[in-house]
Amino acid sequence: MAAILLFVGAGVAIAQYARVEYVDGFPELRKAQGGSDYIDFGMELQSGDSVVTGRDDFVELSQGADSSIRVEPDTVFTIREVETSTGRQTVMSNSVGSVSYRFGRMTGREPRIGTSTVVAGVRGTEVTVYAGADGSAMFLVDSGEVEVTSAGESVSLTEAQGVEVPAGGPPGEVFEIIGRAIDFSTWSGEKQDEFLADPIGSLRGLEAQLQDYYGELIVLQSLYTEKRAEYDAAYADLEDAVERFGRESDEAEMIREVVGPLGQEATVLAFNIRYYALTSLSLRRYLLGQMSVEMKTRYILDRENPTYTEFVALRDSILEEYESRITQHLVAVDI
Amino acid sequence: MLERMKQILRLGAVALAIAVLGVSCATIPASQDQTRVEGLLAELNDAPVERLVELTARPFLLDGEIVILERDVEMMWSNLREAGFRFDDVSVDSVGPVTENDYLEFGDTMDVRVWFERYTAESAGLARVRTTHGVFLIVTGDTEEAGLQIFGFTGPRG
Repeated sequence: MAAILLFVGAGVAIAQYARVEYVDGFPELRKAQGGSDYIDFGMELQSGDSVVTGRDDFVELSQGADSSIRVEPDTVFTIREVETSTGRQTVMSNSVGSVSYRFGRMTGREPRIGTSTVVAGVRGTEVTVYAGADGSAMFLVDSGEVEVTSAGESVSLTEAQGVEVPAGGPPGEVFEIIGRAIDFSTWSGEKQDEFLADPIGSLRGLEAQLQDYYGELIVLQSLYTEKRAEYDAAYADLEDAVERFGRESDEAEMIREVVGPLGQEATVLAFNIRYYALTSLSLRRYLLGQMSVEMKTRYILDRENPTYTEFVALRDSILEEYESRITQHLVAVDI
Repeated sequence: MLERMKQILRLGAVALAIAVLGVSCATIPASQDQTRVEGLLAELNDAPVERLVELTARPFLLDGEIVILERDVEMMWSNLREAGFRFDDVSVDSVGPVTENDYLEFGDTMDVRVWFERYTAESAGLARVRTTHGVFLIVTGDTEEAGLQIFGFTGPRG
């Protein structure tokens, strides 16, 4: 797994996914390879990089000639990649905060956008994505089309439509944006209030979402183990053929034709295992972590309060499962 | 002549004492100096929340949680203030450098272990502090850019 991950990492490091066009304040770039730096004009973001904005920060990114991304204050925006049945796809998400996208004419594969808990497909779109402290998301479409899928259900949004998606649940009713006063600050405050009114419910939403990711990981891990065993066996055959018939022999060449694709398939699976592990990490860090800090500091002098003790018990059981399922797929620079 | 020799020796002893004192002061980083840590805690009790955000290193560690966003640091201090929490009647049981297994006091997780490896200052200190609310473990650090800051804490215990 490690060797394959290194290979994937090397491939990712070359590609660049967005360029910094405008910066206000002192936003931070948390790099995929570890470490962080202040963001400056002209910087290129790579897959795995995150933009972290503070209270007074703002960043505008571009993608190609006619696509732009506005990262609003108090936001964590990340670019990742995932392999799908139709090839590698860019996924841009905000774990918390607000991001607006304007995609021009799509010339290649369309990106996916979303939050730590829900992802949507887009087509020639201007859309804003809100990520709330309780794990819920809201998509607001100005133009184009967006298909939002969560908990096995999908809704399609077109111009001037929006939808809210609770963490771990299906999308809600599609609503018309026109005539509604919607701003992130108000919405985010409401989500915060909803979390405080029912912290256990919010935690259960995150737990459900993590269970979805664990399910994907179990399938991927099983396929990877299988594929890796096939690859290792084929590679052993190749070494044997090279020794018996020579490096340039027809026998060795025949086996090479099997080994190459097997290695690629295993690499794709390892790549997607990392995608789900890192998405789980974002959810754990920015949603579960924020909830924990909120509750700990509110109840620091009232730690026997049943609301708090119930929260801590559930949180600890979620973290125990996270530790056993996810951290094996992470490396120190991810933290 | 003897008197002059004695005077020179006395001056030498004083100079040596000053030098030794200077060296010992210079070798204790602010993050591991009890008086400086007590001063930091006093400021954390009294300063406005905006100042507390400045006195807080990020990523911050609260128990086993890594706090990255400025917004969340601000929320943390605001909540503690609203709850009426202070590091009251502080007595420092111990203060010294962070050692290899100290992370276990915060949590036996990858997050905590890596946070201690990657995000504490080079001269990080760990203070065990007794307050009216119980015992806290406080990680401090002293950097050129920000001076003495709180990097994390866990507690109360007991």
